[in-house]
Amino acid sequence: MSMIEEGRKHDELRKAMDELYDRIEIPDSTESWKRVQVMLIKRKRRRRWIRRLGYAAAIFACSLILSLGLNMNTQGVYSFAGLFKNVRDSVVEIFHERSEATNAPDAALTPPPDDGQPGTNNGFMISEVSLEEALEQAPFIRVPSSPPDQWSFRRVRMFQTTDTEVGRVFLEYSGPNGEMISIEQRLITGESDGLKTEMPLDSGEYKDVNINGNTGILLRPTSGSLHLEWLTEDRVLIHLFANIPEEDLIAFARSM
Amino acid sequence: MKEWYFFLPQFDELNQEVQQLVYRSYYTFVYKDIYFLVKDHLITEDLIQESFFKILSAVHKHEVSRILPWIKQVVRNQTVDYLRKIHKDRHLTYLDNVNNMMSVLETATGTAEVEHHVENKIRDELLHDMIARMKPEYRLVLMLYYIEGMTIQEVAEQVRLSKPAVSQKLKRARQKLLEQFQRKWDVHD
Repeated sequence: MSMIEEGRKHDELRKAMDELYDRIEIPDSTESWKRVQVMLIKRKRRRRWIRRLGYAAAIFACSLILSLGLNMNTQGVYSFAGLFKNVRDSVVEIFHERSEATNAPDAALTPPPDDGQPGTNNGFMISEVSLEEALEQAPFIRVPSSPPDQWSFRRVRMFQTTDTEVGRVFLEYSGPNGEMISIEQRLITGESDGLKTEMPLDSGEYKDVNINGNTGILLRPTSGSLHLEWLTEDRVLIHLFANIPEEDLIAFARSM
Repeated sequence: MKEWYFFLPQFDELNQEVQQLVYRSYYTFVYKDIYFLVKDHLITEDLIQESFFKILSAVHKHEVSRILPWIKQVVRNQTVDYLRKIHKDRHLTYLDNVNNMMSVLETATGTAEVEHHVENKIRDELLHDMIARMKPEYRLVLMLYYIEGMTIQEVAEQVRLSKPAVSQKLKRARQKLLEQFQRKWDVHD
């Protein structure tokens, strides 16, 4: 085949293919559109479901992380705060120290005995002493240097487990309108069974506060007195109960 | 509808009338390319729909000014993938048709009364069948070169092959078509 002949046939081929392409008839697309419409609706539903699943997965992941963070032994999670917290059955447990038996049911925050119980109480010797006597018998206690204006020292009560060992010391200050600040101090010796405070999650707020370099916890119940507690570096666990402004209570604590 | 492709990125937010207009324009834009390669209306429609959803899901990644060439490429790739899957079956199916068409062609071209447009129609059918017998890559190369008028270099870029490889495929495809057409031209001449 000569070059001219080959060229002619290629031109013929090109022309034939062009014509073939041009003569392709494009049918009406209505039926095709109807099918696409159905597919679009399905696609929309599918995307909506995927989006919902995405939200659900995100919520699940967040819940899982929170749950893991709150339920694991929490040193890693809360070590920045210095206190260990655990949420169980809608109750937050705040540990000043970790122990092997952190699930022990007895809380460190045992309420003080009633005022009208002189003598012994469950093995404790209760006595009301002067501040000087208290400092002598229980040198670990701390006395605030700056009680709020117009507040005055009221009394000290000591709870002894034996003749020589002082378990707890209660100091009380009274305000001009009959308010009271109660300070409980306890020297922790040996291994503790997990010094903790409990607070129902829905009964108020809690936050970490710094008391002279120690991390304390301030509990603000929806009703009732503020409660501030911290463990000192020499292992004195101090609780303050008062119905005064938060700033005043913290300032009071920092003066101890 | 002019510049219908501008609406593709927001397709889901359009009302149904506008959606339909956009789809009809897209349908017209790609129909011939697909039909040319598959020679079957139902398959063409299926491929148009499938590629439409592919395009909708990825259109946001492309500049509007370059959307049309990209759409053509998506459609061609989709079609060639389909053809690769069914190539063997189609080859066997069309072999008989081509032989039948050849005999019709010989008869037709040998009769003086046959109208010219009938002859052209038969020639188109024959040509289309012969193209349909080829491997998908050959069909695509032929279409890009002859129909789209691309250079060898442009075809090579489209099908992601080297320039010599495209030349070779084009040469073989042309050779096959010419061999078949030789008989028609011989008879015609």
